Amino acid sequence: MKSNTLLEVKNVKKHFPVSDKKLFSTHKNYVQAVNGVSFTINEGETFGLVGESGCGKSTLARLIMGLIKADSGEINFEGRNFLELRGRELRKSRKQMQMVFQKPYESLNPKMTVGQIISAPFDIHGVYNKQERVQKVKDLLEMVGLSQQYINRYPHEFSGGQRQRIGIARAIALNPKLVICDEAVSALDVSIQSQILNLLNELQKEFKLTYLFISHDLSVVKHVSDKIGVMYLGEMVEVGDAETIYKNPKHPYTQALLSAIPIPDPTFKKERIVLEGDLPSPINPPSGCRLSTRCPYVIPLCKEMKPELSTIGSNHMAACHLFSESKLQKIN
Amino acid sequence: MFVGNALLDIKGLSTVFNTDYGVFPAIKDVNLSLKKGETLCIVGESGSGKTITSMSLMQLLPSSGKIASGEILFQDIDLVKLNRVEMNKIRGKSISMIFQDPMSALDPVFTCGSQITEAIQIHEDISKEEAKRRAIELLKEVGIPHPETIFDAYPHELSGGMCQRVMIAMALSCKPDLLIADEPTTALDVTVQARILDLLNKIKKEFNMAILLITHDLGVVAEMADRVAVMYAGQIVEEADVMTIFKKPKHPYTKGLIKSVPPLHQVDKTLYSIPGNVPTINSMPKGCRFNPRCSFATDLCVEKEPELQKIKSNHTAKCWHINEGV
Repeated sequence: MKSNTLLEVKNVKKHFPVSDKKLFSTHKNYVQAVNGVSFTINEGETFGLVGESGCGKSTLARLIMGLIKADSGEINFEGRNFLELRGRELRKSRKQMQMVFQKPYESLNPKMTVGQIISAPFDIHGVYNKQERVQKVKDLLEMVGLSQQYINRYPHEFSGGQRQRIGIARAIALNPKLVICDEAVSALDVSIQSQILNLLNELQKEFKLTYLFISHDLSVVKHVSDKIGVMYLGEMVEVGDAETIYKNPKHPYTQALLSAIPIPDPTFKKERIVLEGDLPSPINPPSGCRLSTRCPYVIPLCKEMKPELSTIGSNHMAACHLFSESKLQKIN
Repeated sequence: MFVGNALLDIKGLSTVFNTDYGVFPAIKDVNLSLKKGETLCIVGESGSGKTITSMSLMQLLPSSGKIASGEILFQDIDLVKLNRVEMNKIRGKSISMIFQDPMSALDPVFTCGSQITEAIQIHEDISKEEAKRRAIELLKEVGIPHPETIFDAYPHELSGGMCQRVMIAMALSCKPDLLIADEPTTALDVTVQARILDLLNKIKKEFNMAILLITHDLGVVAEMADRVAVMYAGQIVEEADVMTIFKKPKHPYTKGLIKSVPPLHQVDKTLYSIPGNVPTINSMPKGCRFNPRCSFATDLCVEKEPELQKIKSNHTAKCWHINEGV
């Protein structure tokens, strides 16, 4: 393992049981929410995770945070397997990773004041005394661009963007190394969204934060990320540098996803790659490659064998048979 | 009788809301016109009055809302003056609407098919069998595979994209002249969104409909619009054709909005952002409503509200400083 790797996710799986429709039936189906995902995040970089709803992005975030338990696989944080830690050790590691949630209206307790919300992490981990906490909260408010006077106000007195700033202040309160932003700007308007993105960028520089940035908005992800992973139906289909992924996407799904983004420029004309049909059910995903039912370049092998995530360029990996057998020329 | 070729002409529309704290205008002096076969996009942030405009147009305002003044001329009939029965005849027949959240806009206890046939039978005197045949044809038209099966399916059995297609089929059932689409793709994923937008463009040509598209996504605007109206705090601040809006915007708010979108082809890490928040309905600033957030604001902007000024034909902006090249 390289010395500057902060988080390494190795072949992580999570299948949720869903009951059969029949009463008293013992047969169980499983939603394959995350199915063998691997990637690494280096210190100080931003890893963007994109995919459509239901592809397992949020489940993956919760697995990394330890909010739900993985079925199998390894999550190495600073070189230690997070899944094997217990008790005090686990709590210590948890301090190093924090999360900013999607809905600014629902992720703050309406009964608590801003001061209580932001100092909750201090209570949990038992750091600082009373005066220090107040000072720390004030500093944090200042840092995220809010007035210190807001300390005794309640969440309902704030707008969406301001609430998201409070959520961010809470997340960075313990000086974490990794911050997971799960659709942190999706609920905000464009002009507010850009304020928050700039704030996240400034904080990253100041505290050398590492971000796992999850979003379905590809232009936002492109803007913030150094590396990008594309997920489809619980699997990682392509990983690479942000520039490479956007300029030279290889996996048919990534290509389709990118071609579907509406560009805010009426002079820009592009060819759209259309994926036929709907997302298959994760309870009963297609055999072989999971995209095989919708892929425009499908070959017989795709339905039989599952492609592995393999290197196709410097810092660029894709899970597709077309590259393993250099059949790419045929398409191009 | 048509005056010119405007299908819809909204003149000085103001809608007020009765709240516990008093009566507040949600939209003020909105002027819009729409020709046959044209797509007009209303773009703005949440709380800017986009949806209230469309709800006023359809007379679907909640009980606390009321149209205070203005005219809504649709095919030269003033919709504001119509009573409920008369409005019911237009709603769903000449003007139809698709909503933001397709999963909750459809009734969960009826099949998709029965909801479409209901819409047809309200407006046209045809038999059930004939209505069913039409509904299946429509479902096929909007690109639903196996329309006969989907006809008998309940909304919860379908995905978001499919539900939106059913909604569109229902909206098309009486061949409307005007389709109002209120954030039709906001709840959908990008790949699904792309297909729905393509579908809207296709049916627009086929039916020669006008579309009033409400969205906050500038990408969608660039892809769909012929003309664009930018709304801010209940007022239209700029209106022009789509090229002008994106290439030569005049109003500082429009400029800020366009610059706030993270560009796909740029590496600069710091995004332009408009400072502050959209003012709420009960705390509208004096003078120009954008002045607290505008970096070009002068004393004049704080004191007096600017009029919508003509820059050239088909391009208007509500700003004191348009000629100074802000």
